[in-house]
Amino acid sequence: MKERTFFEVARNDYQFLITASILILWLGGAFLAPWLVPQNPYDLTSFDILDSELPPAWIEGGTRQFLFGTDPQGRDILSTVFYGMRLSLIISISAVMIQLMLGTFLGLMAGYLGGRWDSFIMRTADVQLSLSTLMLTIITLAIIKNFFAQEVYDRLAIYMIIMVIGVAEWPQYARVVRSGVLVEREKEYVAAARVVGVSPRIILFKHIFPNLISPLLVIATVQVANAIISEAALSFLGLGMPPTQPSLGLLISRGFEYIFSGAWWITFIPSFFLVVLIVTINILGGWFEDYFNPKLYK
Amino acid sequence: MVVLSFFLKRSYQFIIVMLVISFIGFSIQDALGDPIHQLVGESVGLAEREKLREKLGLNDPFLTQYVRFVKNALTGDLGTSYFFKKPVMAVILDRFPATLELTLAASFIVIFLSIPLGIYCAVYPKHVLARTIMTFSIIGISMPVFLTGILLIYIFPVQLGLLYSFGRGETLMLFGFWETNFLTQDGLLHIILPAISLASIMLPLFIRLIRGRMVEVLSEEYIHFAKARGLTKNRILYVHAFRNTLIPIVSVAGVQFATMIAYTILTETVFQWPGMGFMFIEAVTHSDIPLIVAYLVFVGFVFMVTNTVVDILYLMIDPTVQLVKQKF
Repeated sequence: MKERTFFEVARNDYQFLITASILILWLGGAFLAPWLVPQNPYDLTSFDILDSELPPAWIEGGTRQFLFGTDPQGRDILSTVFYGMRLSLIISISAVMIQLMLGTFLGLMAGYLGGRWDSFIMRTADVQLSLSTLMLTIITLAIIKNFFAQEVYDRLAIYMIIMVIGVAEWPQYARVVRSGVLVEREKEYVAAARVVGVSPRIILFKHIFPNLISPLLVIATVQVANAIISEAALSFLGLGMPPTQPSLGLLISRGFEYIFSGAWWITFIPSFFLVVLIVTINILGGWFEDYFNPKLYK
Repeated sequence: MVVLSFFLKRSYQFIIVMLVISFIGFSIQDALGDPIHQLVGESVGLAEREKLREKLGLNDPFLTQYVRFVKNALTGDLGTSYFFKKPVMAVILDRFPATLELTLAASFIVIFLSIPLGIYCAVYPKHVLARTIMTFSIIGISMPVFLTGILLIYIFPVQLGLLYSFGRGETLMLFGFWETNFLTQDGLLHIILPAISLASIMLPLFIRLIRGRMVEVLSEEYIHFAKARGLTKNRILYVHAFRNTLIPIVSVAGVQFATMIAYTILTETVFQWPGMGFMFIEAVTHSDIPLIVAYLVFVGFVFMVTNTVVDILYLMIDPTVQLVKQKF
């Protein structure tokens, strides 16, 4: 059977096409937010308190000027949501980059060095996995927050969150990479390379590593969704982004109290964008898994 | 013999991890908390403070202080909360039943729904209901737990006027220290929404897990043999097949039970459930360092205990399990 390329498969799969289009729309909206949306929510002069708590345009009382209504400060929700999504994506993608680098490096080292290093790295991974990453990130950020004055923390928050989510999730990658190295190094092509006299380092990085890229890609995709959830959760608890730079989680958190007075849109419109973003990434992740069908080394 | 070496290895690991956690905890307390300031406030002079420091042993070397911290911790003394002005262990133990009951209620929901639904999806994969369940499980995985909580609050208490959006309601005191939600009607009504939202994070995962394992098991030969013997379908499914799906599930369940304790922080914050998680977030807001540190140590302890219990359960379910991992 002739192997079909990625795009040939993708073109005929409607579910994939729909999901991918929604995701592209969302990503485009988020990254082009400064040029797309009517208001800059970080600029205090651009909105008016007199416009506060207006409902979305399709409900009675809403105006066409604010498609998704306004929040209690009179900010346009469409604008805050797109800016917020931009922040959430920047944070989660950067965090996943750190996870990828750290996990791959430690996994390669464990598989390559073996012995003491291997058992030390993998034991640490076991312990860290058993302690729940959510718990680790919450406690770490809570402590970091207490180290700094509020205003200093607010300025550094974005880097702290990226670092903490980035460091918290490395064990998964390390496990897959390590067992991948152990499986691959027994194969004939590695033996052949060794016989020809290729150095172990080159075998590891140039011969073995490329075979591990597709399982890593599958994990990384799903991890972007998880990082978005983690960031939202941290911001919801008040440990994440400062009020001056609201991410989606913070927008949801601040809208929460208004649902009791019936102003559902302040919290549910950012929620809708968040959930759609995560669902599409998760579906796409599942799809990558089926397509690349990586031998998920366990 | 093997069992003994398993327990030795386990307790060794347990002690190491607890020492690391307590060391981190102590370092935080040492760097952040100034107990003198908390004890006497601003009004006392420098000389008086110095005397007090000496008396409390705060001028001792770091390691001496750490050893004292561990010794005190072993007797259950982890310091005094700045905010509550009570021993931190008393504060935590006071809140612990609320968190444990919430976690248990959520676990019941997960167990009673995921087993039949997971098996159903494995047996009738093409059926509309199975597809719906699988679609919902993707959405469920993608829904942050606090959002599920907010949605439930909006639908039930706010729109329909049913159930409750905050607190534990009326509780019953058991044995003089355990306040329970399970024995009063009001308590049960209060726990429903928080438990559902906490369960929502685990339910999709377990449905998928059980379904996946069940599909594998159902294609094995002994199932065909059982069919050939003319056993009833339910007996084959629930007795023969399900038992073999249980083993990997128990090990995941152990890790997830611990993870659920982490998610209680979010659920309790949404529902203002007076448990340890809500207390922790309050402690962070008040910069209550001893309470933060005590929570860290206590939760680390609970996680380690859970992991050990799961390993023992594993041992009871599957006699062929390897107790001591062999090296490669």
